[in-house]
Order: sequence, then structure tokens, then C-alpha cells
Amino acid sequence: MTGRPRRDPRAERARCLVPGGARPRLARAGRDGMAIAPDAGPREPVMIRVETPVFWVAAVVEAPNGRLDRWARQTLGAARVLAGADGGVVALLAGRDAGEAVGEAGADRVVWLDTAIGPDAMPGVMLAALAPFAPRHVVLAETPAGGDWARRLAARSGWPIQTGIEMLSARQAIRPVGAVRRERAAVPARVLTLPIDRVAPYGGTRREGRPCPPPDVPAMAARMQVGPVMAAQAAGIPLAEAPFVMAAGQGVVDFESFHTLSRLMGATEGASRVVCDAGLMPRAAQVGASGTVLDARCYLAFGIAGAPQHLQGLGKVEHVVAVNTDLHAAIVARAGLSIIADAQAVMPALIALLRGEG
Amino acid sequence: MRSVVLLSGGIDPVSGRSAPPRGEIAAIGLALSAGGAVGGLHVGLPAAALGQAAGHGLGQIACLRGVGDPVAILAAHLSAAPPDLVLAGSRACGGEDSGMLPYLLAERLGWPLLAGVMAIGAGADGWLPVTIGLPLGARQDARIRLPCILCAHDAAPAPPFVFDRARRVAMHTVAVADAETIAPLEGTERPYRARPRLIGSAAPAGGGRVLDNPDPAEAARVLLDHLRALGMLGA
Ligand SMILES: Cc1cc2nc3c(=O)[nH]c(=O)nc-3n(C[C@H](O)[C@H](O)[C@H](O)COP(=O)(O)OP(=O)(O)OC[C@H]3O[C@@H](n4cnc5c(N)ncnc54)[C@H](O)[C@@H]3O)c2cc1C
Repeated sequence: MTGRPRRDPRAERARCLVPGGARPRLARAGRDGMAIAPDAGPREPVMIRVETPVFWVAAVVEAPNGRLDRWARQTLGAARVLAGADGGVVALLAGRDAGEAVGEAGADRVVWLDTAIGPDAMPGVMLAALAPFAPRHVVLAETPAGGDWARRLAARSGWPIQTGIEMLSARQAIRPVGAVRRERAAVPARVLTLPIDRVAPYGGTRREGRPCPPPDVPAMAARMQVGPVMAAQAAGIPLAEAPFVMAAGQGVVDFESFHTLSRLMGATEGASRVVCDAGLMPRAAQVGASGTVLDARCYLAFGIAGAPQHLQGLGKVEHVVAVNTDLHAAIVARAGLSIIADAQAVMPALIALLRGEG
Repeated sequence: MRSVVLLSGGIDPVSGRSAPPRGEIAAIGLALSAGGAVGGLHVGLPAAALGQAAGHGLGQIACLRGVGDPVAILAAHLSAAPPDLVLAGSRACGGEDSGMLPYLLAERLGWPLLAGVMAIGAGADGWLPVTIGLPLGARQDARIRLPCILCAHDAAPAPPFVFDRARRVAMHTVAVADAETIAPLEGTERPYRARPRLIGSAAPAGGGRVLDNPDPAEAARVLLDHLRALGMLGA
């Protein structure tokens, strides 16, 4: 005889049964389903509220215009991975108030940080904001600003840091080292930075995202002054850095309209190789494998087929819009919006509309 | 103005041969644009990549030979005869590659630091104007108190390579006091394994919206509405 209690499979199954729904659904979270909380009911908007979690994980997210982009959501997703079932996630929101989106993205608490204080004051303010939570980890996006704050925070606090995490679980973080020829797998450090598209955003039930009072800004001697951000002038931006690129392919013959339109829209001009080869556009405008790889947010393609060599140049572009006469062109498959029409007709219509509006 | 450029040695990510990181070459360019004396500084033995970096415009490089934390070694050396300006790349290439060294050094020296520097102007009254490069071609003007540490933007202009300068560089080794040892790194190191990035966020799932043969005016309206929704037309 061992002292072990006898199992009752039927009772265990009954405990795992999720109430509601037409078909029986089992959720085996623990070994015997003890950990399952009863469902609040089908299709009712629910929100998870955490009062005192076992520990906290912090995520610093940037929302310059009050919107969380996918990198910010992934940063919160990473914090949720590290928090697991017992931890809570506090978001330090740098920028404007993003409202309920922060809770939907996985934050239990939100502390707003004023970025106008400048990078030099940032570590002091972050430490003041983090102090009440004593977070086990602080996750930041490896953006220019986020990466800078992470390093300032680690240098000021002396907390160990791991940068550019490419794979993350609660127990292990893997990052490239040695010129991305080697990698190091270790227990996640106190400070972590995350490149884009490495950790999935939080997809679970909405969290509370309860606002907390902002921290006091510690006084310090002014050692630097940072001016306002100046957005680039479309025509002057190098193609590789331009946020909005409008490109012409073989399907464009009316270049006068093309240039007028790019000026009206504030877009930087690009072109396919054939167009550059023909001398219709400068070589510097060539987009693609043997031209420029874009970093744009939006790419508007007129009369471009979307050859593989051309699409390689669209590496990180999030939004592609195509105007093409061929419904089966490869660019149409990559585009979020495709207009199957003659570019020579659409361009003047766009110009007329833009001019008519003001 | 006396500038010091921090050099890390380093390797080329593709070939694995010794090569200076892109950001350190940009840092040399910034140092040269500041005018005045410019020297390189490296902790460790003279390496091949240092000569290649010097080819972009350094006359002399000091190699600090000491055992222990390179941040402590650099801090001790720099505070003995402080320059006006210390420049670094965004991160090393071939070591830990975390980009932490300039930050730790700034914290230890108590100097201000700015990263992502594209250009520097003429210093006056102990302040230096700099231009910071941000994503999507945006720029930001800033002023920073000297002495300071600046990390060059990888896209800051790189001075051309001159083979003769690389050949003639004066590399001298300076024996320095040993510093505190650093804790060994946690975890295990192994060859890099490329992991696919998350997909689905970049391309629309199952293709996007298609307007087949619309009226041009209708097409223009839909197109502009779409671009506005993406925030591309300012409104
Ligand atoms: C080694 C190598 C490297 C290359 N590198 C590059 C590179 O870096 N960049 C690059 O762009 N290419 C590159 N190419 C070339 C590439 O393979 C394609 O040939 C090129 O991209 C095609 O350009 P296109 O789409 O403008 O022309 P086409 O293939 O001729 O396509 C024209 C498109 O316009 C549409 N069209 C026609 N008339 C109209 C109209 N009136 N209104 C609207 N649409 C219309 C057509 O349906 C078609 O889809 C490379 C090729 C090789 C071999």
C-alpha cells in the first residue's frame, strides 16, 4: 500500500468540463483540472482583474500618437510570456494615452511616462515608476528610443541586460552574439529588448489596464536639450529611409502625372528596374534586390508586376497598394488594396481629387 | 576639440573576417567633422580590424593592455586625461554585441550620452550641437554638454577608406592597471540558428481588397480613403 489517494477519472473529467457550449469541452490546465476557474458564461465580454500578483513584469511601450503599433503589442506579449499565470504586467506607456488598447494588449496596470523630459532623465523616471512594482523583468522594444532607454536603465540600475532577444519563454531567452554568427541561450535577464516580429502579441482575454499615478520626475542638472522631431521632406528623404514611397513600373507612361501626384501626396518616388534601365527614372530610385530595400510604412505601386527581385525591396513594408491592369500580377497578392485599372486613368483622377479638396 | 573614438575590433557578419563595425567608421567620420585631434582607443591587443578602421581617418590608436572589466579600464584611462568628446558605434560586432559599453562608460564617468548621432556642429561655451537620426528620415536637433559620449548612427556618413592610412597608423600599446573582473556570462553559447520571424502581420492574410475595373474617380476616392486610414496623407 502506498499512501497515495486513489484517482477518480470520472470526477476529474467532470472538473475539466468547461460549462456552456453545445459540445463538451475539456480544459486540462493542471493535472486534474483543479486550476480551472469556472467560465463566466458564453460570449460575455470578460475582463481579467489582478489585485496582488505574485510578482510583476514591466513592459515599456511607445505610443507617440496614442496608438499601439504591432511592435508595442509584441512587447506587451513578451511581458505576458514572462509573467505566466502568477505574474501581473505593468505597462510604462511612453507617449500619449492609448486608452483601453493597453489592457487589450495584456497590461494589468498602466503608468504614463512623459517623453518630453528627454533621454537623460528617462532612467531616473523609469526607476521611480518601476519602484512600487519591483518588477522581475523589464521588457523594451529594440527601437531607437526603446533600445536607448533600455541601455540607460541597465547602466543606471546595474541590472543585467540581454538585447535583441529572438526567442523568449519564461525560462529561456536566446539572443544572437558574435556578429550574429553565434547565439547565447540563458535565463531571461532583468532587462530585455525585443526586435520586431519575434514574440506574438497577447491574444487572451482583455486585462484591466488600470491607470496608476505617474512617477515624480527626479530633479537633475540639465546636461542636454533635445529639440522637436522634424519629419523629413518627402523629396529630400533617401529612398531607404522614406516612410511613404510611390513607384512607377512599365505600366506607367504618363510620367508628368506621376511626378505631380507624388508632389501632391508627399511621397518619395521609386521605380522598377525596367523603368530605370530605360532612363525614365534615375537609377537611385530603383526599388528591389539590385536597388534599394525600403523601410517604408506604405508603398504605392503603379504598373508594377511585382517580380521577385522587385518584391525583395519591399522587405519591411507594412502596407502595399497596387494599381495594375492585370488582376493576376504578383504585386496584387502582396497588396492590401489593389485597383485593377489603367494607371494613366487613375493618376489624373487622384490629382483632380487632391486638387479639388484643397 | 580633442576626440577619442572607441574601437572594438570586430568581424564581418557574413565572411567572419576581421572588419570594423559600420557604426565605428561613422564615429570616425563624426570625430573628423568635429575638427581637432582624433585618436582611436581599444582595450586589448592590436587587432587587424583596428588598422582597417584607421584607414578611414585615424592617425594613431592606443591599445590598453590590462586584465578585467574594459569599462573600468576605459574609465580610468579617460579620466586621467579627459578628451572633449568620446565617440562610439552603436554596438560591437563579434563579441557580446549588446551596445552597452558606451552607456556603462557614461554612467561611470558621469558624462551625458546621446545615441543615433547623424552629424555634429561647432561646439561653443562647453555645449555641442548634434543632429539625431530617427526612423523614416526624421531628424532631431539636440545640444549636449561637453565632455560627452556620442554613439554614431549606422547611417551617418562614413569617411572613405585610404589604404595608405591603414598601413601607416601608429598603434601603441599602453600597459594599464588591472581592473575588477567581470562576472562570467550566464547560459550557453552555440552556433547561430536562424529562426523565422512571425508572419501574418506584414502581408494581408489571403490577399487584400481588390477593386476590379472601377470607374477612375471611384478608384481615386477609395485609394485616398485607404491612404488616409493608414495615416499617410497627413490628415
Ligand atoms: C538579377 C536581377 C536583378 C533584378 N533586380 C531588380 C530590382 O532590383 N528591381 C526591380 O524592380 N527589378 C529587378 N529585376 C527585374 C525584374 O525581374 C523585373 O523584370 C522588373 O521588376 C519588372 O518591372 P515592371 O514590373 O515595371 O515591368 P513588367 O514586368 O513589364 O510589368 C508591368 C506591369 O504593369 C502592368 N501594366 C501595364 N500597363 C498598365 C497600365 N496602363 N496601367 C496599369 N498597369 C499596367 C502590367 O500588367 C504588368 O503587371 C531584376 C532582374 C534580375 C534578373
